[in-house]
Amino acid sequence: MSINSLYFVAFVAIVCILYYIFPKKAKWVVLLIASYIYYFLASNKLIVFLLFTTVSIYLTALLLGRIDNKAKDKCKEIEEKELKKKIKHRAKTKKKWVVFLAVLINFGFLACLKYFNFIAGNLNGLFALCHFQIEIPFQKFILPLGISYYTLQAVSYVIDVYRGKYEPDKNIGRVALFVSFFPQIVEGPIGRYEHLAHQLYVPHKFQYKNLKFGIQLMLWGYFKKMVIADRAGLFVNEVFAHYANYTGITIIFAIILYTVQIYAEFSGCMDIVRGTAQMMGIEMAENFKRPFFSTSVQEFWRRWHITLGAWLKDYIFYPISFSKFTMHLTNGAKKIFKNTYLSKLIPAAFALFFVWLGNGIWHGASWKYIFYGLYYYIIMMIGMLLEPLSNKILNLLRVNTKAFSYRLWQMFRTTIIVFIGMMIFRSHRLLDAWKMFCSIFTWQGIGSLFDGSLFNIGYIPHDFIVLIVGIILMFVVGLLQEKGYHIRETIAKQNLPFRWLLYYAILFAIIIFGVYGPGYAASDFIYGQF
Amino acid sequence: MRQVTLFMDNFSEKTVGGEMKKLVIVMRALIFFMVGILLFLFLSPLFVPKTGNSKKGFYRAIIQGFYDEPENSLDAIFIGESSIYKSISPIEMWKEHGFTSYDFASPGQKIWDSYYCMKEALKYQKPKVIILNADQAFDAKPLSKFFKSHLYDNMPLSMNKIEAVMDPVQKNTTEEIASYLFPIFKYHSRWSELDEEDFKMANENYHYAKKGYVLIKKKKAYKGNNNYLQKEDKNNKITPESEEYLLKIKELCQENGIPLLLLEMPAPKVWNKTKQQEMTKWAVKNNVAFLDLNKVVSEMGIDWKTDTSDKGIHMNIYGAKKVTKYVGNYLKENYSLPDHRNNPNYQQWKQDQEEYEKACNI
Repeated sequence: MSINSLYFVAFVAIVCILYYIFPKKAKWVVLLIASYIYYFLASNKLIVFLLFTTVSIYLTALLLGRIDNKAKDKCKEIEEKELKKKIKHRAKTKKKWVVFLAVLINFGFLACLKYFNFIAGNLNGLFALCHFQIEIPFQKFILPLGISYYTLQAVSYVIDVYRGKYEPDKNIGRVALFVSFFPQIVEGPIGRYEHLAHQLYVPHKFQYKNLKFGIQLMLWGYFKKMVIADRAGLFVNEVFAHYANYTGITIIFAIILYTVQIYAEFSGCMDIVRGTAQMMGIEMAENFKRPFFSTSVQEFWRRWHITLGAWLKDYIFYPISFSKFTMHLTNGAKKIFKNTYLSKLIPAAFALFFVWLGNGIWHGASWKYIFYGLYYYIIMMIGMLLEPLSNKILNLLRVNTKAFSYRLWQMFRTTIIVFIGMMIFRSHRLLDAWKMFCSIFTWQGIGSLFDGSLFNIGYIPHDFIVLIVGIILMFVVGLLQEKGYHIRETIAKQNLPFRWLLYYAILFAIIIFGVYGPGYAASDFIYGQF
Repeated sequence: MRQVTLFMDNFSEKTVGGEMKKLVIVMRALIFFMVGILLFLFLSPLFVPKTGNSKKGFYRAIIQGFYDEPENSLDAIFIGESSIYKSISPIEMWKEHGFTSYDFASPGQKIWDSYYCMKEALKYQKPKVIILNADQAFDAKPLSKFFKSHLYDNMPLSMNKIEAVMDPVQKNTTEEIASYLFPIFKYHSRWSELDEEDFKMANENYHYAKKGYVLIKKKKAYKGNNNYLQKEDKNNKITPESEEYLLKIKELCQENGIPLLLLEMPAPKVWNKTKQQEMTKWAVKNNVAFLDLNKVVSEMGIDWKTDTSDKGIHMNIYGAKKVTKYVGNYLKENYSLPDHRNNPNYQQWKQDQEEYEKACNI
């Protein structure tokens, strides 16, 4: 049941009706059952992985709580400070092991199912290089739906309980719903327990505004996915599959369109997910905040796939930054570089390396993805290293960094970096990315785009117009949001004929201009593969 | 009241009472939904292919044309698949006997499709006889999507259509059902090729002067022998599914007090002894009239060298004229159909006859 199918729309409608029909106490049960039905329909027996993760984190959290409580009780009975410290320390060590095991097992599943063949392939290569007669056979694993998303979500819960951020949840239903909530299970957003679990559990009264705004958000999401992303995909797929046949402007055009495609598709999917949840009064975390208005790569990643970035920050960056090793590294750097910019940069660079490595690996079991993560790491490091120098130059040249033109330049620069990143991301292999990159420079003029490549692959001028209009519309909406306009609230203030006209226009734009049905090949969501 | 205000969104509390507001919201949602459905219904036919070859949807005219006939103006309705609309020319019968008829048929139609077509036809017409193509009873496979489209894409939305496309016998998926009810889902990609004809034929009933008949002049001789009625094929059985719908059709006709006639066209490539025996047996058992034209091929004067368009599967115009003449006489004799030729209310038929004759031009 793909999120862009009629089945999904019907499923959401039924769940929504049931949610509001059922009594208050049973509302969350409706969501839980719906989520499990949805997951079962998509993954069948692979649902055991989801069940295992749910039960394992539930029990782990309870165990962590019990260890804590036991230690506290013991401490109450004892007055000796040293002994108290010892008990606390022992409890902490115990908790560390418990959480370590839970994280290891859950990530173990993910690693085994997703990365086994990648690791085996690399090890086999290494063995062959060393003339060892060992070969690890490849396995045909089927990845449970959304495992990359729900594992991160589940792990964040146990780590937060371990950190004492909140008490372990005694209600397994609530934990299960938090992990499996059906709109988010395929592509996120990666929710946090403290923000989401309670919202899912408490009954929400029917509010016309929620229903209306939810449907509007879904419609906008479908527009982005089906009219813009899938139409861009027609061209992108052809050029990336046969990039050797194309040069210069066509390659550039394909890279730009792919960036448009992935943004429209992923953010569109998030709109559908958030809209679905909003219909039932549930507010989900935002995953995109107009990333192409970013003035730096750092800012881009704070606006693009926000929940993944936040997860990596909380569960990789901070633990590594505050680890003993990094402390030693900081001290060592201070000794060598004194109190300079570089001494502060080194520990940050060390922790960030793992963040970006994690980002790359999370996206897929391939060197291409690892390089993709490290590409951003290198760009950021260069930026950070050169920051004092560039600041000096800017001062010297008296550049007004607050001027709009300068911000525009920064946005342009960031976008170019993102384009290259997307090229790596979309290409089949790293080598292909490199070859594509090189072929950009075999310039044959803009005319070559219109000579054949654009229209020979099945694009008709009308398609192109629809695509351009769609992109402009998406840009205008983004710009208005960036300026602080609340689009849906503004629409709600308009007169009924205008509102209805707008709703019907977008609905029929999706139906008429959407890339679906017998006229087009069906297309899945790119981010659903992770 | 506060809850209601929340529920109400931007409705002013001063103007309407709480319960009223709720009602207004529900009414507004309903109207929005209804207008949406109407827009769907209005836009859907625009996207359905109108003309050209059969791949593009040549058969829209047959279906749309039926709805353009004045209510209760038809004396006989022919229902079935291609052998009906290629063999029976209602205008020929009008010329000869003065009664009115229509080929409400679509390519590859199955017996259950015929049942729903019949139900739909009886909503608008009170014919004195209904004629059903017999051979369909031997084919129990659901129509291919391609053939189904010719019928259901062009049929206006009605309870009969909903029932037809949702009937499990059709083995339609949810998406297919949606595409038949709202063809815009299937043909939306035609948005860039819509032309004047699409708009013209979209939302007004198309007048089909040939009354469902599809005129074919091509000749492709049947070179086999004439003893095809001696051939047996034990696989040819009226399946339980087919029989179920045959009985439904019979009941439907009985309920409406309309006699049913099973008719088999001359078709050496399709018809055989087994089918003939099976059909006769069923017709006798159920007291339904059955006319097998394969028995009277020489009486009708069919020449297999010149009268078939595709080596003995379908008739061309030359064969159709002979078949129609025989069937016309049979209907006139057995069902006492009226002669409207001097009735001023049937002026349109005279005009249609002129147009038809121009098209025949032989």
